[in-house]
Amino acid sequence: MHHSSRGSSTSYRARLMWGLFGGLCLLGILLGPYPAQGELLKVGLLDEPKTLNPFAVKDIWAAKVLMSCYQRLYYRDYRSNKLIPWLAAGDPVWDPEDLTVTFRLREARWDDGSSFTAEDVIFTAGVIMKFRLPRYWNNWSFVEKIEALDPQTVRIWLKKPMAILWERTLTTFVVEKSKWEPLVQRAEEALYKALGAKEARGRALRVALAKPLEILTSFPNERPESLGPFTFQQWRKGSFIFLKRNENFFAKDMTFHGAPVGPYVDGILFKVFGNMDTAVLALKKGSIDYLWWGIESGYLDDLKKDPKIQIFSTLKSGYRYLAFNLRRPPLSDRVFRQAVAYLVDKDFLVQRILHGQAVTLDTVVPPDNTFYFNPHTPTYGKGLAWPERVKRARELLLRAGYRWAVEPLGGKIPGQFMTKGEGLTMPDGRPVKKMHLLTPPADYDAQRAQAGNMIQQWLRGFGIPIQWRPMSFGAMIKRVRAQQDFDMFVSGWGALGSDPDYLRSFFHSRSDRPKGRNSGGYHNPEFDNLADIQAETMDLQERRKIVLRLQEILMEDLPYIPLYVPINLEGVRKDRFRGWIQMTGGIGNLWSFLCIKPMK
Amino acid sequence: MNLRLFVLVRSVQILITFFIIMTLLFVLFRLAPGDPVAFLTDPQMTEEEVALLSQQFGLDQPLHRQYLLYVWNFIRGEFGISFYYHRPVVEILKDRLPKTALLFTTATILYAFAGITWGKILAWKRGSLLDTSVSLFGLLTHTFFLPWLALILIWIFAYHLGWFPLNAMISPEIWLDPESGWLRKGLDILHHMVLPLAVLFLTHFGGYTLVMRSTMLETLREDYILTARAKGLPEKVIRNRHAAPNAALPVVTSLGLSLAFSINGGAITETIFSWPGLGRELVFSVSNSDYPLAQASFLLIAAFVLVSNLIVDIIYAYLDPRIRY
Amino acid sequence: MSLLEVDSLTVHYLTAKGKVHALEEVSFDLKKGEALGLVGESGCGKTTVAMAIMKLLAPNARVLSGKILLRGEDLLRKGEEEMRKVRWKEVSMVFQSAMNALNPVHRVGDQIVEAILAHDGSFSEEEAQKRVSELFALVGLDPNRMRDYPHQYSGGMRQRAIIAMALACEPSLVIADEPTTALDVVVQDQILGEMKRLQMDLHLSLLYISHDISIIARACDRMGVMYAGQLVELGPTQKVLEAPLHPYTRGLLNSYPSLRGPKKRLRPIPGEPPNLWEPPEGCRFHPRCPRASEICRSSCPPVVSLENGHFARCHRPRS
Repeated sequence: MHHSSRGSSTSYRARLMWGLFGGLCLLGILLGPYPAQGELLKVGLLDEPKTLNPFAVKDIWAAKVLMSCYQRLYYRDYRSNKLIPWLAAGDPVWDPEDLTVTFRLREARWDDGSSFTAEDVIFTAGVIMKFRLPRYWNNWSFVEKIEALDPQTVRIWLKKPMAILWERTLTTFVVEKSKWEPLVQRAEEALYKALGAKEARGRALRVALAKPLEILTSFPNERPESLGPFTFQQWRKGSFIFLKRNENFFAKDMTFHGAPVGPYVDGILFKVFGNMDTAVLALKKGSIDYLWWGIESGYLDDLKKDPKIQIFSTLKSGYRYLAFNLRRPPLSDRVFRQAVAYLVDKDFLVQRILHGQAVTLDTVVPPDNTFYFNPHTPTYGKGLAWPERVKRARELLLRAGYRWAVEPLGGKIPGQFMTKGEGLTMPDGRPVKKMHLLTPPADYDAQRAQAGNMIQQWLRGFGIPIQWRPMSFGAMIKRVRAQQDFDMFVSGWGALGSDPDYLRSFFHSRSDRPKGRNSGGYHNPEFDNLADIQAETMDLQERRKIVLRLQEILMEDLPYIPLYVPINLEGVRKDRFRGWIQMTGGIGNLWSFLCIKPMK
Repeated sequence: MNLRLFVLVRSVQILITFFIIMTLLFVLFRLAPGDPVAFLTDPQMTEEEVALLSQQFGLDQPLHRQYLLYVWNFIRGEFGISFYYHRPVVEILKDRLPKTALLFTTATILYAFAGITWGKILAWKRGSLLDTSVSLFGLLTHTFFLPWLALILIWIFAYHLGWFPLNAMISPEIWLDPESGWLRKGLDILHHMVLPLAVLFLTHFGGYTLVMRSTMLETLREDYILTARAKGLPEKVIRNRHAAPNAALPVVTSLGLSLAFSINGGAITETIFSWPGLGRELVFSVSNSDYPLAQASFLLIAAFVLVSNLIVDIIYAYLDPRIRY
Repeated sequence: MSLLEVDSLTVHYLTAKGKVHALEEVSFDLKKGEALGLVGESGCGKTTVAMAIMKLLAPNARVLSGKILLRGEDLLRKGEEEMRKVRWKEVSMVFQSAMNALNPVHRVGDQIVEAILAHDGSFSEEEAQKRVSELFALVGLDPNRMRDYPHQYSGGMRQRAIIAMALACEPSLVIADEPTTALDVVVQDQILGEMKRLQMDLHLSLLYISHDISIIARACDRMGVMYAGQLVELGPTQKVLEAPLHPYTRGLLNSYPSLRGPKKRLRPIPGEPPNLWEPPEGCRFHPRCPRASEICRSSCPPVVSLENGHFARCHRPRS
C-alpha cells in the first residue's frame, strides 16, 4: 500500500473487467453445443441423494437413483398391478404346514461380472435381521431362518404366518455379498464387542446395536453395484449422477405384454436442482427431459401451452385426512364425528382449494391400491347439497341428545348459514368447549392450511366452537404424536405402499401410546381382532375380504375423515422420448426407463 | 501492545465467544419446535425401529448428557453423524465449503474491489453525470430483491439468450467427456459462476460504492488532501494514494461485518442457482432438524465470521498505522 | 523586480447564502529573500490570499480581477497542469501544525520523497531518500525517524517535518500559514528561530500569514494588515508597529500585549468584524473606527502612501 504504483491503473482495470465480461459471454457461446453422450435420459431431481447406501436410504431422491441398480425378488407389473417374478424365476411356493416359502432365482450378473446367487439374497436378509435394520427389519422380524437349497433356490422359514411376506419381505432389494461382506464383518465385530455372547432385548439391545448400525449406515456407498438395467458410473456431489445402460441386464431379452424390454436409452443423467423455478425452466429449455417431481399447479398453465411438453397426471399413493382426538368429549362420541363428516364437503374442497387436481376419498386405503381399496364404505352426505348436509348433521346430533340454544340452518353454498348454531351442549348437558384444529402452515402445504381454514368455517357456523391454528409441521407432529395434546388436525400420508398392514399400525389399540401412530386413541376390539387376523392371513383373497371389512369399520367409527387423494403432475419432453408408463405414483418408475424409446 | 500479542488476546476472546455461540446453538436447536425423529420416520417403520433410530443418534439421552457429549465430541474434532446423510458431518462440510468459498470469495473480492474503485471515482467526480447515474444505478440494484433479480437474470441470459447455463456448478456433459481437460473443466465452472456472481455483484456493489463514495467525500475535505494538492501531485496520485486508502478504512470494516450477513443471501443464491454449497445445506439441515449438520454448519459460519473479523482487524492495523494494539 | 506581485486581487465565494466578498483589491509585492507578513483576525481573507497564490481556492471561489505575478508570469492564467509544476517547485507551503497536514497512513519520509519525485525526474528513489534525510537534518529532525508515521511525532516535530517538506523542492517562495499556531510557546520559539535561520541560509522569500501580530513582528521585514478582505496597511515592520497609519492597525496593536517595553493596558477594538456577504458601504472599518467621518461612510478610501513604502487604505490616515 505504501509503495504502490504512483500512476493510476483505474482505466486499465476497467478495461480489464469489461474484457473479462466479454470473454465470459464469448465463452458461453463457444461452450454452447455440448458433446453428445448418446441418447441420455436427463432427469431433473429437486434435491440430491443424501446417501446411496441402500441400508441407510430414507430420502426419495436416493430411492429414485437406486431403483435402477438394486433389484428386487418380485416386482409390480404395470398392467395387472400384481407382483411378478423379477430376480426370482417363478412364483413363490408357499407351504402352510411348514410355514416356508420357496423360490428359484434367475440367472443374472452383477456389473462386476460375478454371478447373482442365493448367497446374495441370504446375505442381505441376514444383515437386515442381525442389525434390526430400521425400516426393513419389520418386514423380516417374523422370519425364522433363510437358507439356500442350491445356488439358485432360496427357502424362508417363518416363525408364524405373516401377510406382509408377499408385498414387503419378497420385495426387499438385494445387495452383492462379496462387496458388502467386509463392512458387515466390522459391524458384526462391533456388535459382538458390545454384546458378548449375551442375549439382549429392548433398550439393552438398542444400545448394543447403535455402534454396529453406525458402521453399517455411515458407509456412503458412492458407487452402488447393480443388477439392474443401468450401472452406476459417476456421482459429482451437488451436481449430477450418471448411470449407463447395463449391457448384461438379466431382463434384456424378456418380453412383457408383447413388448421386448430395453432399456433403449444409453444412460440416465440425474441433474440436481435446488428449486422448482429453474427446474421448470430447464424442462422448457430442454436441459432435462423429465422432471421427477410433482409440478405445482402454478406452473401448469405455462407448461401446458408449450407444445414440446407433455403433462402426466397420476393419483398419489397417499391421502390427506382430518383426525380426531378420541380421548376428549365430544370427539370421543362416534355420532359427533359422523356429524362432522356430514359437514365436511370433500367435493367442494377439491374444487375450491385443489382446483380439481385431486380425487375425494371415503376410505383409508388409497384407490391406486386396486386390490385392497374398498369403494363401498359408508359415506356421509356424499352428493348432497349443503343445507341438506347441515340438516342431516343436526338431526343426527339431536337424536343423540345434543342441544343448541340456536339451531343451525344451512345456506345456499357450503359454509353459508341462514342461522348460525349457538350454545351447543352435549347429551350430558355440558357445553361443547372450544377446540383447536391444527394444520401445517401455508408455506409448508397451502392446501392443507386452506382446508383447515375452510373446515373451521363450516364447523363454527354449525355451532362447534373450533379454532383453526396453523403451526410448523415439526411442532404439530410433536403435539400430536409425543404429547397427544390436540383436538383435531389435518395431515396426510404419502407413499403408503401396496400392503395394507399400515391400517393395523394406524388404528390398533396397541399403537395408542406416546409417539405411537394411533395418536387419536382409537380403540375397537373388533377392529383389533380383525387387523391381527389379516396380518397373518396368507391367502390374498381371504385377506382382501378382511381388509375391506376393516375399512368399513373405520368409516363407521371415523377416527379419521379421509379427505382427498392428491394428483401428481409430471412433465416430460415430447420431442425426446416416447412410451412412458404410468403406474402408481406417476411415470417415474423402472418400467418407464425400460420402455421409453428415443424419438429419433 | 504489539501485533502478535493482540492476535493472541483476540484469539482467546474468539475462543470464548465461540464457546458461547456453541452453547447457544445447542439450546436454540433444542428449544425449536420439531422432533428430528418425526422427520426420520415413515409410515412403514415400527415404533421399535423409531426407538432404535433415536438410540442411534443419542436422542433418547437427557439433555444435559446430550450437551456434554456435544462439547466433548467437539473438542475431539467430532461433529457427529448427520441424521440424514448417515455420514460424518465433517465430510459433508468438507465437500461443501470449498464450493461456497469459491463463489463467495470471488464475489466478495469483485464487489468490494468494484465498490471501492467506483466509490472513489464518483466522489472525485461528485455532481457529474457519471456520479449521478452510477450512484442511482448502485442504489437501485442495492434494493433489488435478490431471488427476483436472480430469476430475471436466469430468464434473460440463460433461458432466452442461452449465453450461460441455467444453474448448477458444472455441466455433466463436459465433465463426463473423457476428452475434457482441466482447462475446459475450469472454464466450465467459470461459465457457471457468471450469473450467480452477477447477482451477488449487483446486489452488493451499490452498498459498497455508496459507502465508499461518502467516506471518500469526507476524506477529500481533509487537510492532508490540501497538502497533497499543494505539493503539486498529479490528481490520480492524490485520489488513489492519499484519499482512497483513508476512505477505504471504514469500508473494510463493514466488509468484515457484512460477511456474516452474506451467508443469508448465500443460501438463497445457492438455492436458486443449484450451487452445491454450504448455504443450501444449512437450509436443508435446519428445516429437517438435522441437528449435527445444522450445528456444525452454524459453528463453521460463526468461526468464519469470527476469524474474518480478526483478519479485518489485522488488515485495518496494516492500512491505518495509527492503530497499534 | 519583485519575486511576487499581487495586483488588485478580488475574490468572491459563491455560497447558498449569497456572495462572500472575500478579497477586495488586494495588492502587495514580495522581493527575493524578503519575509513579508500578513496579519489579521480570522476570516479577514489572509488564507484566501495564500490559496489564491497556490491556485488552490475552493471550487466555489471566483477570482473577479487582479493578477498574481510570479517572476512576472501571471499564475492566474496558467492551466492546471502548468500550475501543478509551479506548486512546491516554485511556491511551497508550511501548513498550520494543528491541521492534519500530514497523511496519517503514509510514512513522513515517503510524503516528502513523493513531492521530490513528482517534480524532479532526475531524482532516483534513493537520491530522494537521501535528500529527505538531509532536509531532516536541516530542520533539526533525526533522519532515522523518516520511516515513522505522523502520529508517532510530537507537535513540534510534525511542524519541522512540514517545514522540511516545504523546502524539499528548493522553492523560491514559501508561504507559511499560521506555522506556529497551536504549538506551545517554547516550541513556537524554536520553530520561528529555525525558519528565520533557514530563510537567511537559503535566501528564501517568505510570506507569513498569522493572526498573531507578535510572530509577524519577529519574523518579517515588512508586514501587511488585513481587515475584512482588504489590505488596509502595508509597510516595513518597524514602521507599522511604531507608527501605524490605519486606525485598525492601531486597534490591533493595542489589543496585543507589548513584546518589549513597559506594560500597558490592553484595549480591544469595540464591535465585531463585518459580515462579508454585505460589507459596509464606504470604508469597511468605519462602523468600528473611532475616527470615522462622513466620507468614511460613503466612499471607499484609496490606498495612500504617506511615507516611502508605507501605505494605508484610509481617508484619514494618521501621519
